Amino acid sequence: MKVVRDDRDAVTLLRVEGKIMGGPDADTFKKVIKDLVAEGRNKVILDLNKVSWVNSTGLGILISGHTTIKSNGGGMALIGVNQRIDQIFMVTKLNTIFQAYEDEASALASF
Amino acid sequence: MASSNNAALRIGLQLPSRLDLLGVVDKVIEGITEQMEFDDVDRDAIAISVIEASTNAIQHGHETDPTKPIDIVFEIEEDRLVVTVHDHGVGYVPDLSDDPTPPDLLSTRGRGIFIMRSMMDEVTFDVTDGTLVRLVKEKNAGGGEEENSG
Repeated sequence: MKVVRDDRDAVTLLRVEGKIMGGPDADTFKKVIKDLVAEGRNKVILDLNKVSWVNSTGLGILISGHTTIKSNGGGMALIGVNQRIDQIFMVTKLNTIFQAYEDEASALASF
Repeated sequence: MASSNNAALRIGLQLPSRLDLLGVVDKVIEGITEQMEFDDVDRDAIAISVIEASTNAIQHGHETDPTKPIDIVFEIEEDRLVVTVHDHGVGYVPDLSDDPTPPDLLSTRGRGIFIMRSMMDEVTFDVTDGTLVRLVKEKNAGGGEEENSG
């Protein structure tokens, strides 16, 4: 998994690439979120357009990031959720905590 | 798709316990489920479930030791796909007596077996020289246990 950070005024866009599946991915993502929070940046758009799939360990990584951002008074919006990721969100009911948007503009407008 | 004598067509895959190789498993599943003409939703359900079982085998069965191989066998039958994922670790059989229940929403772990049971038509575990997970997806069955149980 690769994460590219792009700060847009008060909102940070995180472009994730590859597969979110645990192992070193957890440390990579945690560090990015930790750095954001340390800088006082707590509005995050997670762009999953280039993520092919997420397994249950990867879900844990996303939940951990979401919890950290929320507990610091911010929010996390998702864009680029493909059919397979949407299916796993639906089954696990995580679609009720992860707010997914059609595109970047809609996600930006949500903050 | 099935072999001409109605016996299951078996395709085996053995790979080192490395998470980065799950992409290879995904590609094999894509080919098999496309050949069997599963619809898109079922293809994703099968891929997600086999990847979950394989992740468990690699991380829990073999503690991500790449020298220990996991074995995945696809049995292609006329109306269903049977997949077994076998590790050679200490062996683990979860309690499957109840309907699958999701963990707390904000829990960061504990969803793998729930996901498999929700997406496949049958999920069984056996301790045979490690853990053997057997996943079954019927063609046109409409969903897994969660949907069947209402």
